[in-house]
Amino acid sequence: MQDLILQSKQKTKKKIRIPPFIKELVKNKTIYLMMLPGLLFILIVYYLPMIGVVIAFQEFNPFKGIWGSKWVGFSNFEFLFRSDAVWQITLNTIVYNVIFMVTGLGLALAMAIMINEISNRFFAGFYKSVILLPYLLSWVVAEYLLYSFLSIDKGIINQLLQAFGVEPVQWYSEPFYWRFIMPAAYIWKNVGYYAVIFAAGITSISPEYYEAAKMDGANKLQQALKITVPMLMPITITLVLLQAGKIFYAAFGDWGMFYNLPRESGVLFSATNVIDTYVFRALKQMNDFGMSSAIGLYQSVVGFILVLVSNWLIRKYDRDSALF
Amino acid sequence: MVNKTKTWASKLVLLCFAFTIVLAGCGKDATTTPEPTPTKNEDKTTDQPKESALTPVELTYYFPNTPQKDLQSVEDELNKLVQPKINATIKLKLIDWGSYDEKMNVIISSGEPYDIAFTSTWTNNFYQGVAKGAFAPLDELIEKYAPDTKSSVPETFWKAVKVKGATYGVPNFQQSTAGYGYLIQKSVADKYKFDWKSVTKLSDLTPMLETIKKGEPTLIPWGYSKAIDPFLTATPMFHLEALGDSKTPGSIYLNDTEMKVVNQYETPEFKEYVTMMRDWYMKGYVRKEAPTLKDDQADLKAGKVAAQIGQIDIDTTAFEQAGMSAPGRFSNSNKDVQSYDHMFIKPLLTTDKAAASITAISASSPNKERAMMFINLLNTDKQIYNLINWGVEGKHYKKVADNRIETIADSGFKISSPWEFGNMSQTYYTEADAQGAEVDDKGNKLWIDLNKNAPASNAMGFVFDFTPVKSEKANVDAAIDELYYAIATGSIDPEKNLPVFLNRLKDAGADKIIAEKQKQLDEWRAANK
Repeated sequence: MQDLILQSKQKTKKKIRIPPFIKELVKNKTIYLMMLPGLLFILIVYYLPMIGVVIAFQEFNPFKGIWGSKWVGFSNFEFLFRSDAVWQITLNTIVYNVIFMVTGLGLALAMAIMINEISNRFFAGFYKSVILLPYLLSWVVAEYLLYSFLSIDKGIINQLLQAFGVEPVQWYSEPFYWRFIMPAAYIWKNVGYYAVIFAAGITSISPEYYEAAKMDGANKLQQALKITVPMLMPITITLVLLQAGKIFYAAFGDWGMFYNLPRESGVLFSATNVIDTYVFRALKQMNDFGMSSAIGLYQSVVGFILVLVSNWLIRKYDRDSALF
Repeated sequence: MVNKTKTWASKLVLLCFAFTIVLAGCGKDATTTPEPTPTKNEDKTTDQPKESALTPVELTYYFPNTPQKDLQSVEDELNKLVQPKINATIKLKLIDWGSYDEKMNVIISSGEPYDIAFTSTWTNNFYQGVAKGAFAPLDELIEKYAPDTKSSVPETFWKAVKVKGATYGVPNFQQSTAGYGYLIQKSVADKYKFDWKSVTKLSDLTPMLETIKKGEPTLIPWGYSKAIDPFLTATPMFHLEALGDSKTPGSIYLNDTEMKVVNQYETPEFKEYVTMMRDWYMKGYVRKEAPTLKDDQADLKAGKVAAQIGQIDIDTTAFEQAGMSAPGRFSNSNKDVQSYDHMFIKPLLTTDKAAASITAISASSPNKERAMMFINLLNTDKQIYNLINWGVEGKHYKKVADNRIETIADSGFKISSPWEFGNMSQTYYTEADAQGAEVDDKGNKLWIDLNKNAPASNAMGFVFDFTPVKSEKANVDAAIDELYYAIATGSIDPEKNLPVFLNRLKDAGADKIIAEKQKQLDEWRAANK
């Protein structure tokens, strides 16, 4: 009898054979149901519009729509790769972004550690706010701030130089200086933001580590290098990964800097032109959806590959820190 | 590890599957939605003529201007006039100058139904709109509902709105000729007793600018900004005519009946011009910031510009001869600064200028007949035309003479753009017009005569379609943005940099664009013989 029951049970089991995926769904149905609106939101807002990438392969006409427009293969990509500027702008984009990532995150980390050492709560908050403030300004405002310093006939710096009897500099026609002005501007604007993230990370480090280190006679610098920095590694890695995906976008997607700061002075382009600004200038007169999407797709694909590569590298180094 | 990759792979497959479903769904949507619109239109066109009485409809009218507080009362008053005539009410949709181009692009791309829109060569581009299929062909409608409008606008203007044989817009008849010259501050010219009328080319100004530089240290001798770059904005000054936008390589010489397309940056005229600008820049006649200046309004408002280029059709001399006195164009920016305007390049009618102000009917409009009737009213009914321009009498303006009004300050409606709606010869004169202009309609007669008598350019009506050379144009545009303004303002040495610039243009594909222009121009000539 028992055997029989067992047999039949096994039989029914074999017959239905629910896949583990469905089983999981049924088992935690309430939780998945709660997840559904969020998932749908992400699907509709983030994934559905991705269908639009097909425009990159079309001679897009809004009246014919995505499905009626003519397919033109890769010809929309042609102009960028045929351009003699392509190497210069690609190099500018990557080199600047690497500099931004290293100096930006490095200085932010240093800043966060220093702010953490300020015992007076009022001053700590004050410094944090002051370095965060530029992050809240737009690049257009920054453009005019910088212009008031660098203007050729009325700028503060040139007037100072003249006061000391030094020949004034034509800031807006000398590309050399802009290789330094650009990173400085990026740091000025973004360091505060990352410093706040790091500072939040520091507060979550247990004070016991520091007490133990003090007992062993470690000084402040040693504490910072041996405790704070390693403990902040997960945050740093996440930030690096997030940035890596945007490395093909000027200033990690905040291209207003490259567009506004040099005041569109053409002579500076060897130092200030990046993919985004080049594409914007090249296509602004034509209103061509296809060509603009082609460049957007190109940047996204390269960004995606870079995320995968950096994630793979990080996984080799430390499995737990990797994103996926 | 292996296990994990497996689950990942399966999830990925699932995701792809989900997308194909979504894609398929979208495909259906996209193909079905556009269909109803045309059928609806057909219904309307076949239905309406049968009905003897017109059913009431609402027409949406998009146009750019400065936003007005009291637009509503103008709309109400307008509808009181329009409704009894064509049984339609007009919804005025005024969009800010700066965002008009972008907004119309979105409205057109999204297929939102509207009826009438302002279009031109400089905002909401007419030719691109026609290429996209945004505007309805109007030949039959004009024939039927607007014969008066048709006869009131000269044939040359109708040529400009024809694309491949069909008319897609109604040109607003307004001052459309482009003569060029320069403006100079009256006080400066009088102080140094300049012979400002004797100038025939830009280089004649050099001694004057030298005097100003020496004698008036607070003034900028020669005003410059990207928006008024002489070589790009005043091409006839260099004996050239731009085919399409003046930046893209490919122009023809004005007197060249063979119409050979040349690269304007390779012409001796350009070389001569940039050499002169280098001289001016080095001598300090131009602001050191010139290559990065987006506009020079601030300097103009401060009254600091002593002289600059001007697009002038009716200059100081012409006003004087007609018995009117004019304060000059500098006074538009600063009331206290009067100028002498001197034109030395005779007016010419070009496609670009004739198509600078057009009213078009949307391809998505459900009431195209009624829209055409309204456009006809704008062109022939003086009362309606002036209402939309100057507002309500007594509320927004006072009538001071039969044809002259005075606008009321802060009345909530002052758009002052008589060139934007219909036939400008119907407009009232205001305090901004020259004194005496209203007598016998002299003011309007001046420009109407110019429009009718100005020689039309050889390529009048030709429109360049750049789609076959898109990639080349993109790269050439980028190269021009990089080097043009630095060279054209003289901030870098043309001896060294002009050849560099020309090489960059060549590498970017300028020659291919020029060849394409020549091909299209030849075809156009053969078709329009």
